[in-house]
Amino acid sequence: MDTILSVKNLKKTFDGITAVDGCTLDVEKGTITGLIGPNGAGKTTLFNIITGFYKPDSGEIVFKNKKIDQLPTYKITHQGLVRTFQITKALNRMKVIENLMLSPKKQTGESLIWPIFNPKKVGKEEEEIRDKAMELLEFFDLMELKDEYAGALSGGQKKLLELARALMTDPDMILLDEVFAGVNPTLSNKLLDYIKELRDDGVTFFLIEHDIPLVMEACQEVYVMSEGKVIAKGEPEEIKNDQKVLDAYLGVVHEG
Amino acid sequence: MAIGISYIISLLILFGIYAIFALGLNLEWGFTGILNFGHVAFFGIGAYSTVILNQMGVPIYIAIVAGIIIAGLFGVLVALPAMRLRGDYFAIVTIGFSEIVRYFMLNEEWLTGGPLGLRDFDIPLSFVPSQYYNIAMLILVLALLALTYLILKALINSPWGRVLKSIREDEDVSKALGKNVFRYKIQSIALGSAIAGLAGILLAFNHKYLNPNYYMPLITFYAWIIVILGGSGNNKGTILGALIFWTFMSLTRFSPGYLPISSTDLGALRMVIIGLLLIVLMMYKPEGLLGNKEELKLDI
Repeated sequence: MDTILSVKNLKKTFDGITAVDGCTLDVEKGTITGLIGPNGAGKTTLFNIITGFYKPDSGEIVFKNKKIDQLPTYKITHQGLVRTFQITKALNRMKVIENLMLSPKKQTGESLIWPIFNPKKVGKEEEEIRDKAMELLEFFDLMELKDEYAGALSGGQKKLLELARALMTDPDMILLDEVFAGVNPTLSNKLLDYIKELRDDGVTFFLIEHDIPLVMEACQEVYVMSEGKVIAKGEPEEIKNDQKVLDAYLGVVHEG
Repeated sequence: MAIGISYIISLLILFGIYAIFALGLNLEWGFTGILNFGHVAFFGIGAYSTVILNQMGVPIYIAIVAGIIIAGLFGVLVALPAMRLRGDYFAIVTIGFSEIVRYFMLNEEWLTGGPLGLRDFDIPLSFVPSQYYNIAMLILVLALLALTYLILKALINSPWGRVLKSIREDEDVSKALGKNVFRYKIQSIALGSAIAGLAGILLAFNHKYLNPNYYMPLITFYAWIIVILGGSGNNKGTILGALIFWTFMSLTRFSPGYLPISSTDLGALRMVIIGLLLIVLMMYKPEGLLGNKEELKLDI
């Protein structure tokens, strides 16, 4: 299998606190790969660095054979790597459909000039984008909500919206930061089905998750982080019985 | 009768000019979420640039276009370094900038005429007989207001406007979805400042005179009052807000004869009343006169 994302020896400190401390991992193309670890292990910071929200102090990130660790976020998204947020960020005062139509890259109408001087071309493109958005709304069962303000959606619906919005960028890979957290089991299963379906269509997923049974079910491979480092990697079953992982989660008992 | 037709015309001219001025601010604040407390700077830069260029021999219509562009460029100049700051810090820089501009006008006499200001410059529509001049000016101002409104409407309803609104809501999302947030903010300020420049140029023609005292920070807050009154993020509301604001300002200008207070006290009293009106508005209609109530409920 091909590696789509490769992180090498990544380091990031904030005022002396080391959040990510020499993290190295690879994500294979077309998989759902999990990232687990106790709170404060540096998982979200790692996602923030991969997607360019923070610059790493040292180390290297390669996505689709291209170094991306010095690129700004929007350029990383243009490469086909997009993220969702741990705390859902709906664009509250925009309609659901507008949330989705925002995403596609390189829209003609995003310039200051063309909406005035070539409204026809912009309008035609808008129709295409709208059609694509409608397809995704259909896929995620959000069609009825298309003209609602995103801020009026429930927590679970916002998670679906975020995933749909990320998909509108035509990504090769999506980083999901606790997308299942706070979602009821029915919706959670549905969300997982969507993700598996998208995986079968060739999208790679890398997800942070605390729900271990869910990770066991969804992921081909799991990385475990603790104190800024990857302490274990492997198939879900191996991870479950790894002593280092149990220690990280439960704390090491020093006898004597 | 104190209120004659010429008075109403001069009131409507001021309304039109300040409506344009406030539309520029509404683009920045209402649609992009940029907290600009120095909007008046670009009002002044537009006016002074056009007048100075004209006095240097540039034909007036070209000087107008140049003044608008220069105001926009100064917007970019301020925003380039200051845009790295968020929210209120950016606001402090802009209010500082607007005062720097005013002190520059006051002190650099070789260029700006200093505290005496500038006069003797060409004005557009000078072929119109003087008894009809004000009405021609009014038509020009209202036509430019309509043009500004229509251009903004087309832009705001376009994908460009959609990106601006996403930045207003949460710029991290815009970044994560591949938008160059910095560039869009700069564009928003450039266009907002250019619009302010246009308004400033029109005001210069209306007064036929320029003076640094026209560009006090208070003028920025006139625009803020207008935008809040009408409802942030609503251009029709901004225009309505400008109409109400100038009607109020003008009506209270008459009163010295009728009220037992001095005109300086009255000036202060007007601001007190406007402040009270805004407080009442925020209590009973926090979304502004034409704002969308539904949107407000979403802000948690």
